[in-house]
Amino acid sequence: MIVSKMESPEATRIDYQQGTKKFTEIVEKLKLTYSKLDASNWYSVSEPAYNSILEDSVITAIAKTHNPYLDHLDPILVSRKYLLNKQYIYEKVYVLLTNQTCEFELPEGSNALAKGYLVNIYGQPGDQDYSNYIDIYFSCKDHSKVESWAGKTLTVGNYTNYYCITFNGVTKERLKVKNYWYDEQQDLSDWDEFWVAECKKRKIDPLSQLS
Amino acid sequence: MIKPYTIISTRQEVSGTGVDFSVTVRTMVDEPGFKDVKLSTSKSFIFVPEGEDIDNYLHNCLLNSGWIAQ
Repeated sequence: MIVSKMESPEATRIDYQQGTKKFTEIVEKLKLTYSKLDASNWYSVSEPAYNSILEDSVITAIAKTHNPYLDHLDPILVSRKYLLNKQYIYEKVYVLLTNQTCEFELPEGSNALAKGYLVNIYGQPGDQDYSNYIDIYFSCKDHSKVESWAGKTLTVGNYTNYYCITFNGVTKERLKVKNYWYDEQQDLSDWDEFWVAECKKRKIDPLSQLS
Repeated sequence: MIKPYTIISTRQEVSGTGVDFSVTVRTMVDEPGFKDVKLSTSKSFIFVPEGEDIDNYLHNCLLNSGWIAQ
């Protein structure tokens, strides 16, 4: 089952749920390079997709739950990024974000949902610091507003659409726009409901945060 | 740089270093009718031979024993 589809300026990425044939195929290919890989805690894995910031073809594995060594960052989700040519591995931490805590400008009518950034884990290959690239995930009432920021037409899902803008964390420069679309309700299709639940866990009133 | 384990203490020993450490792994148990998060912790001791980097040696041991995955 496809759990997510994402389009960026350079590629379209498709994520497959654990238990599917595609998931197994991708994991088996990864194991040819990483023999100590353990995919049992992965919710999904993506096909390789080129990432212009990492300058590599990247496989993304979304974890079912994160390991305690990341607890101090208070993640709402964690994924692992495998850079296929450089053979680097990074973890991506997604933390809760609200319009009040978002330091980056978003299209009018947007609601900030999460911030994502890469972290280096000791022992994993790859010591380049990418933590300055900040992904801001958000919803927006007006799809056309995001399209005008992206400078192109973005695919519209029949059920939901969510977005991400990658910023330079220091200069706040907008680097690229990514679009996630869902044609039907499934586990990952309701980011705003997930966001409300994460707000409540942290005793944040979600209604007071919306634009 | 985040370390996926914690070194609790070290002590100099003959021809190496004794290291007390802990590592904790969180996994999702997802079975029919039962879904929960499981924490598994190992608090243990390792002897790191003289000349070996403590972190590198410990990391490789944890990787080879399955406590850490690539």
